Amino acid sequence: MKRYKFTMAMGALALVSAASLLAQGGAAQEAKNQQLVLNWYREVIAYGHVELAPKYMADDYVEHNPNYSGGRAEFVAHFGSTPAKPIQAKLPKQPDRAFAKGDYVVLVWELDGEDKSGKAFKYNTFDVIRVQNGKIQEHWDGDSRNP
Amino acid sequence: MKSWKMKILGLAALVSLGSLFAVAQMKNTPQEQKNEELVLNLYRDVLGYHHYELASKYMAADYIQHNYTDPQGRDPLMEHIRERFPNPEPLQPEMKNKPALVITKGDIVLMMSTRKVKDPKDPSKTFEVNHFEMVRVQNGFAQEHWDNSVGPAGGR
Repeated sequence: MKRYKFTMAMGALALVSAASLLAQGGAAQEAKNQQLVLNWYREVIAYGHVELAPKYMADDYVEHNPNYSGGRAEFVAHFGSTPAKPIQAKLPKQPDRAFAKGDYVVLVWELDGEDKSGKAFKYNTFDVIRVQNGKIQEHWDGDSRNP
Repeated sequence: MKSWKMKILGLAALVSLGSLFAVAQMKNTPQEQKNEELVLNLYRDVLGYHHYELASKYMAADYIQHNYTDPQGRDPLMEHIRERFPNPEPLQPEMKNKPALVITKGDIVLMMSTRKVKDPKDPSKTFEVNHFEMVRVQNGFAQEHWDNSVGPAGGR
């Protein structure tokens, strides 16, 4: 009986350590996903290097922004329509909040606007990105169609 | 004795596999689950069915507002919404507008809702527009709110 209890205790210990190791693995993967998204955003979107799109984005990428909805080709056509700039180590503007959960990475931006009376105000935009097999698979934001 | 060890090892392997799956599936911690439920219930009861009397159950009195058109603080916000929607509707177990996606990370709960909009140039076509609501939970109450509305500036 003593040995049985010992085995049970060791089993439980192994179980708990396995679970915490795996949780750490999940956090590490989330951090990786977030870094992937931030690099993609900086190089491909902010500095316009659409030739790097295949490095970051899945072949069957899905874009939900209504101004360039479709796949990677539509995305590249949209962001490739303006000339690329030299890639910098930092984004021109950092997201005000970034977090990763499971396969999702969220970027939150605080922006400055001006209302009809000329009064300044702050507002937010959001980007949600889904990562799959180490590539960016899907993107949503809050844009409506441009007039 | 050997068979016991095998059984325990098997069980450990099973549970490890289970938690691996859970991580891949965006599983909430118990605290995240609580935060997510609090925010979803707030949106269901108070903002969806307009039961303003339940606001103090879900929201901190000093609720911080990042939406430019809405007032600071819980009670002024409730008055503001009551002016537009004065009549509560019967509470339902389901939300009126269930978000398409909910992501909870720590104290932050993000909801994304998708609607189809008619294309003004071709009414037979539609396009997708997403709306985001983000809430920070503190001590069991909704404490801070952001969304992507831009109000009178020419909004969504």
